[in-house]
Amino acid sequence: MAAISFENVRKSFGAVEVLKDVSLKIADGEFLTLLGPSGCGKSTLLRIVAGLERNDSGSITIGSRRVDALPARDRDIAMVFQSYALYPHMTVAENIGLPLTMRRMNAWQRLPGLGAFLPGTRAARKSVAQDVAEAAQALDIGPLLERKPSQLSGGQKQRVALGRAMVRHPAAFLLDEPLSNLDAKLRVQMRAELTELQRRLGATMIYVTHDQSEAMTMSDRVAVMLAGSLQQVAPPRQLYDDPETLAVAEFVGSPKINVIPVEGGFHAVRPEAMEVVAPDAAGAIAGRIRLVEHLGSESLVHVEVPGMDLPLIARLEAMSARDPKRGEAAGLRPLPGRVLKFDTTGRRIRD
Amino acid sequence: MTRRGSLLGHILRHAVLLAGLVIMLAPFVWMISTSLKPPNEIFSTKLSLLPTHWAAAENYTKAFTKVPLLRYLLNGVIVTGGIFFLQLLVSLPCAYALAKLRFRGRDILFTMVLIGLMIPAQAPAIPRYVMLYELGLLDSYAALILPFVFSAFGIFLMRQFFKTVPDDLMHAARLDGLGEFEILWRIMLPLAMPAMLAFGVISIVTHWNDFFWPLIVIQTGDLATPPLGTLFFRNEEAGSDFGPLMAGTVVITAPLVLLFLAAQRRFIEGVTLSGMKG
Amino acid sequence: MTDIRPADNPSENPGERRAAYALISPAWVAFVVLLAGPSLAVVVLSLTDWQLGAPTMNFIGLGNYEQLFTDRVFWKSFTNTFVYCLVVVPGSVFLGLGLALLIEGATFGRAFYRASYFLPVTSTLIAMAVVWEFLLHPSVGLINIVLEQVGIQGGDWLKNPNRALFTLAGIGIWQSAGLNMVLFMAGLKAIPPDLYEAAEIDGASSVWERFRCVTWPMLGPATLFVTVVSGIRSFQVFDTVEVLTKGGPNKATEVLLYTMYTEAFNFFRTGYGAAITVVFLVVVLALTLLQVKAGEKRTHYG
Repeated sequence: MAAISFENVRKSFGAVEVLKDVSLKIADGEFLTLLGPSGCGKSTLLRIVAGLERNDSGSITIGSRRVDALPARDRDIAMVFQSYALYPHMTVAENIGLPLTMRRMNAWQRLPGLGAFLPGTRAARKSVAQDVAEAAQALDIGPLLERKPSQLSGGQKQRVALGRAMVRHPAAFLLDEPLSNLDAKLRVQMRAELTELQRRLGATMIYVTHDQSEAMTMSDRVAVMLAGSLQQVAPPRQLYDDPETLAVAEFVGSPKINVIPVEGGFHAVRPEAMEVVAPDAAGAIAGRIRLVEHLGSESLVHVEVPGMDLPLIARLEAMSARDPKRGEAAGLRPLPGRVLKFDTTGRRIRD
Repeated sequence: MTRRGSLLGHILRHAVLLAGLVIMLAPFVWMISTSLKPPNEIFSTKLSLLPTHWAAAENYTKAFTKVPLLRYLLNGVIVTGGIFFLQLLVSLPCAYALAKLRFRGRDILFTMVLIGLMIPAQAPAIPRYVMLYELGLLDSYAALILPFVFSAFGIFLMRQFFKTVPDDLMHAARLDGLGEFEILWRIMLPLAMPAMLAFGVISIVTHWNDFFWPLIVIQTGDLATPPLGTLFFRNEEAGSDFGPLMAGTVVITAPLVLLFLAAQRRFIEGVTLSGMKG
Repeated sequence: MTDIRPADNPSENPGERRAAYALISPAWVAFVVLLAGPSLAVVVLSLTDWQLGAPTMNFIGLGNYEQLFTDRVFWKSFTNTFVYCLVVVPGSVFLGLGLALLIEGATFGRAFYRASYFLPVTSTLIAMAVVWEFLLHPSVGLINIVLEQVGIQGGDWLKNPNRALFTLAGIGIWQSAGLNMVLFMAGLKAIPPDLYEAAEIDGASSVWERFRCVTWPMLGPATLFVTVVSGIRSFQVFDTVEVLTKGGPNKATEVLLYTMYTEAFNFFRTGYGAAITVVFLVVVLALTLLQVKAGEKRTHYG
């Protein structure tokens, strides 16, 4: 495993600047997520690290090597794609084994038929089969080795893709939204499995996603990217409690943080930091209850406030004494010390 | 399209279709029928499908001995096989590059391919003939095969196919250590089988049936492809020896008919894709 | 991940670029030597008086064309080809359409009918032409024998100058109808069935009305496409002429490609033959451009 760092990476496609001077250091064995909306440049950055794209300027270092000039295959990186990119005409075993076959056997040995007679081929094939079996075992896909990708479910394909990456024991893993094609329940399960796997292998992982709950639950640190620049890099908790910019505050957390325009900038308050009070209570923002979502474990109260486009949301525990009703007049008041202040540019004001 | 209607409607429909079928297939049926008959039955005005006196053996033997029928068929196989093989060799790499790789001049090349699709086969005939003449290659297999090695249709078809292969597959392959040629050989080719088959069917049928070009470049009987061989045969059979003549045409026509029946789906697929360029 | 790079953006990976050039070079070479070169050469040749094997070649500008456009035989040939197309195209297109409609609506036997009607398209035309020659034989041919059964004197189909071209056109229709049928069938399959249901609700329930309100309009682009494809194929008529009539009797079946063939490869008047080729090429290219336009409409319709 290795540490990865990129410094001052810039990338443009024609006139569009996709990455604007991005720098980041990732520690050996760290699970780092690149989080951001579509088009923010996170996938591009990942592909630059992988060697599938070339950066215009700046440097990429894997371990202690500068890899800018190296082609993808020489960077000792493994990648898991959103679409899994499994070879449809090969079995699971062949899919997982291909990177090993390519590296341990030369072109002559790989020839079908004839290659089998060359010295060393048998031993190489055996070692490949061994490593494939090992990876399959770790991922619990042993019985699937002879199947073709079309015969696998989404979750199984995911594991095969992971197996293909793992089997190379690379310096780092790059994962490009690997869970987005799975249904919700499977996604939650795979999240836990991936995190476990990473811990077990002690692997350095760079994970790209637009799903902030994924980022929050899986990562050691999250790097929030917007429009080609890094907004903040911090552990999930810190991102949530102590955002650097309004954009980060708004992106992380569901439901979205409440943003109240004030003189000189904005105040932002998390829904769970809002309490529902009488509309004329001190320090409360008055409005009318537009919607109450009963989620079982909690309720979300949407309060429409005159002068604001979006309703403010408060999160109440189910056992709360209050039972707000739609149409009622109500007030929302932030709990003390829970107001985050931002200036007009969105930068955090810390007092 | 909804399939409904009265019973009478359906009966009429099938009656019409079957009647039409009789007319469409009459030449084939009559061809086979005549090849089985002796001369006196051929020339009689009585219509019958099956001969009373089977002359199949005589007719077919005569057909095979008068002209080298099998040789013609063999030439057909050699020529169409050679053409298709070389076309694949030239088209596949080019189609892959056009579909998947980025390089200067890619769009120009593709435009050239599209223009190539529009040029009818007979237009470049004269200069090609002159070239072969100057090279001393007239009246040879080379003359029959070489001019068709560039197939705009093949490149176009295979490119369309390659475009449907997800890019991520190639990225994964690159990360796995495969070079560009290996990606083509190990990943793209196996996936391209169906498209290659459709291409193959069109190419083989087009060149097997090509009459214009062999007529121009071939003088030697031994090198004749099936259409040209048929012409030679017909000219040999001056007069009215229709039995053996029909036997000969049965032999010549059979391979393609059998190929078509065996590969109908691919055939019709290829035809629909190309609008069967003339 | 969607690719936002412009198509022609050269790859920054030198390996990719080098590989690309290696992969396309055989095709480029073949294209230039076998297609582009000869196609341009034909145009150039048409401006010369060269004959194959002659020691000198002179530029005579449009001389060949002048000769061509004042030649009675050329005009006969051109007109014959045109007439041939005018018979074969409507014939094979309507026949193809009719067959497609009948077959698509059948509840069973579709694959069988499709294969049977398509058979003539795949068969070796020359061989079948020889068979047709036999079928059309004035005294022992099947056609005249059958006609005689119903009291009609068949006459000579290929040696009668008034009939010969139409006889060849008949064979042309026989050979092409199946192809058009298959193309129409693809077009019919593409018509969404709910259109018929909507028409039914709107009151158009008879066979004719369904055809008029839904089928025919939706087939518009396909019909155009098939017509143009038919036109291009018919314009290239050659095989049956060479085998059955050799342009006769009295140039009654002389067609453009046949004229080109005799001039360029029998008389070896290469320059002149090239001029005929250019005329042929221009017409086919014009039709092909039409085909492309029609093809685009076909894919974007509905």
